[in-house]
Amino acid sequence: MSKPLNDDEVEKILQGKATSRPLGAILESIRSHFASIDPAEPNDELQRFVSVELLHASDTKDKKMLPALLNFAGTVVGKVLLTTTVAAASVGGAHATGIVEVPVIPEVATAVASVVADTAINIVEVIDVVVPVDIIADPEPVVAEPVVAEPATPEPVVPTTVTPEPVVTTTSTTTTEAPVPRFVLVAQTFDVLEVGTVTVEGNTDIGLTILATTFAQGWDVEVEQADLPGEASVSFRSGGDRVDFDALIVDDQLRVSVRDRRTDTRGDQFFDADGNPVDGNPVVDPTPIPASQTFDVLEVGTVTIGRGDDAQLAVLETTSTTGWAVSTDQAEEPGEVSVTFRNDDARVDFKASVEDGQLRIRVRDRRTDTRNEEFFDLQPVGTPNQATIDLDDSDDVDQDDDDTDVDQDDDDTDVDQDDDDQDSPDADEDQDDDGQDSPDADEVSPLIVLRSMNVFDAGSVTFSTVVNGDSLSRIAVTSVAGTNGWSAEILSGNMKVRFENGDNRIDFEAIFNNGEVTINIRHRGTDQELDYQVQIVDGQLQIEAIS
Amino acid sequence: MSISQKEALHLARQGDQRGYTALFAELSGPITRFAHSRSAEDPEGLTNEVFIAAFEHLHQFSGEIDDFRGWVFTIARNKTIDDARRRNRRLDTVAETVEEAEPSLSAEEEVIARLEAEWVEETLSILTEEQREVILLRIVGNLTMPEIAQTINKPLGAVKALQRRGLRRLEKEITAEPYPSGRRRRWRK
Repeated sequence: MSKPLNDDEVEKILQGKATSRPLGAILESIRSHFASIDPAEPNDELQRFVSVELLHASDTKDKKMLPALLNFAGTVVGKVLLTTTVAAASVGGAHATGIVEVPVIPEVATAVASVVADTAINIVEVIDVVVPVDIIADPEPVVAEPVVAEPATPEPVVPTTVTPEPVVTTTSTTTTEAPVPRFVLVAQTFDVLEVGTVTVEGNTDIGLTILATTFAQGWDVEVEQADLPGEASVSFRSGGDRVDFDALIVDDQLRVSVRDRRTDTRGDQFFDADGNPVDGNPVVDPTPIPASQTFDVLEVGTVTIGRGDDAQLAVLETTSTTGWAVSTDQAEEPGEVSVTFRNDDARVDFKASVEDGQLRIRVRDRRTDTRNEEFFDLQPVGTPNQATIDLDDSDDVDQDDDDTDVDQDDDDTDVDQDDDDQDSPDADEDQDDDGQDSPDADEVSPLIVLRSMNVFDAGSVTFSTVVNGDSLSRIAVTSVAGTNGWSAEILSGNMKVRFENGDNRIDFEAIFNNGEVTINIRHRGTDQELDYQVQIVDGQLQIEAIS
Repeated sequence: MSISQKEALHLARQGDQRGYTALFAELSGPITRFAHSRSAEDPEGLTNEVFIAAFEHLHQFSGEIDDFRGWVFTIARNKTIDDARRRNRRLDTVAETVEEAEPSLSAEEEVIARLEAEWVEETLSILTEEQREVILLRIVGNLTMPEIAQTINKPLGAVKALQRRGLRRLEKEITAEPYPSGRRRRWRK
């Protein structure tokens, strides 16, 4: 068995350089199989743009001649009749043998010769060319003497002497104005419930292209094969849960469909080219309603609220302690939910609503007529859970897990999700070419972003990345946890983790190379291998599986 | 003196047929071959569609010639995906017709061509869809790694990983004894 391929070996093989590996022969066979296929000919519609005559003129052994001929055609005077196989080795040779007669001044003949100097060509074309005024100042007609007499009596080729006007091309060259697509969507990002975001762009003719995706913690994202041409399809998965996002340009509008398979609900929303909703029930949620969140209501029970079937805040579950009955009431205000706990005459009310991006919880104990009101911060929809901390100096980045002062408590964490900070226009300028932090990194406001990911069923790895603007400048594993009998160990350098369970072994490796981070996970027992790309997309740290 | 691809793009942006023609002459071969490699139903027709779309929307392309190949291949890739979807839908209801031999080929040539095509298809089937796409763009489309990254809209590191893993898989399969499927794969030296 050969040793594993490295990148140098890969490049050698792909460049067709001799290697001892059979893979080189395989690739060369594939390459030669397709190399025998001729290029397509332009059809009638494409001929609005592409000149078959000019193209055929270049349809020789050496395609590089086309540009030369085109260039010539744009500058030479009069009509040039080339009616033979030309095997000119030089300008002089061509002229001396009378193979090419160019009825214009010598500079032009030189131009022609430059077209044919390199190789043999076979051209039977009459090419009308541009007539520069200065060239025809002294028009002395020259009779062409074509070697091949087809047409039988070729008319003498004479420069068009009476053309005082500025030169206009008279070749089959035409100017074509490309029509503008009816609907052009510049990159637009859509929040998909609480599970992630999708950024798409496109137009009516080309369809939609998915530019980026992000996914919330615990979710994976996958770009799906779309059902319709031009459609963008993405699915978000978390265990058995799944949310589908589909976008398609329909009747000059962007139709976004989101299907929440957890609740088997679906809705469509139409947007104009600027990303503004047109009509329909919004399914791309404007409010950051959490999937679910449970609150203790004094000693009387609990209420779990979250996203309902209509994507609005709803009561998902209630429990009550002994002696208390619980009922979900008709809300008094739109977007509000209300739950009442009763025990004989005693009563406790629970109300929840989303206001100004915060979750407002009110509890009223009618036994004592006391009220309590609290507001809870909500993560913006689609924002992966991540804790960030500003750094005064990137050199002070502390990758020691024990000492890293990152507080992940929701109440206190200094979560910086301000895009302005992450997309600072100065960021690139303040970064060295090698992607490392520059000494004046203070102005860049680098961030540490923590992320965790599961490694098969063996446990999880938490790593920290240093984000400078739109790029990553460092990554290090900060903590690991083994589960299901697996042990986990961070290896030297804080870039590798080894999970072990008896004879089974899983290797996790983070690779930092020129500002790009990839993660490779290899399960030695099952020989499974997973690769992930870690990158900053729209200010968000995104981990995308590479299949 | 010759017109460069950069000049061709400049001319095409001005609506000049010489520019369009030069760009087509340069890229029609790789695009046609790429379409073949993706099993497009009508590779020549698809190639025409690609260039019509590219030229009609050239005003939307703001890059330079270095990006142009990747841009055109992006369009080609989208077209091949659409083509595959259409074929898949049709195959649901219509039995696939047996491809007729090209009349210009002798029976022997036809058999060889068919075996070669089968071998290529079988070899490439070892790969995942993304790995296959990256490797075909590389060796059939002659794209550079950054151009492939642009074409399939993935970071350069991801493209490199796909390529590396695809080649590893190819090598692993073609050198494995016995073959996992229990049958030997055909390949030529």
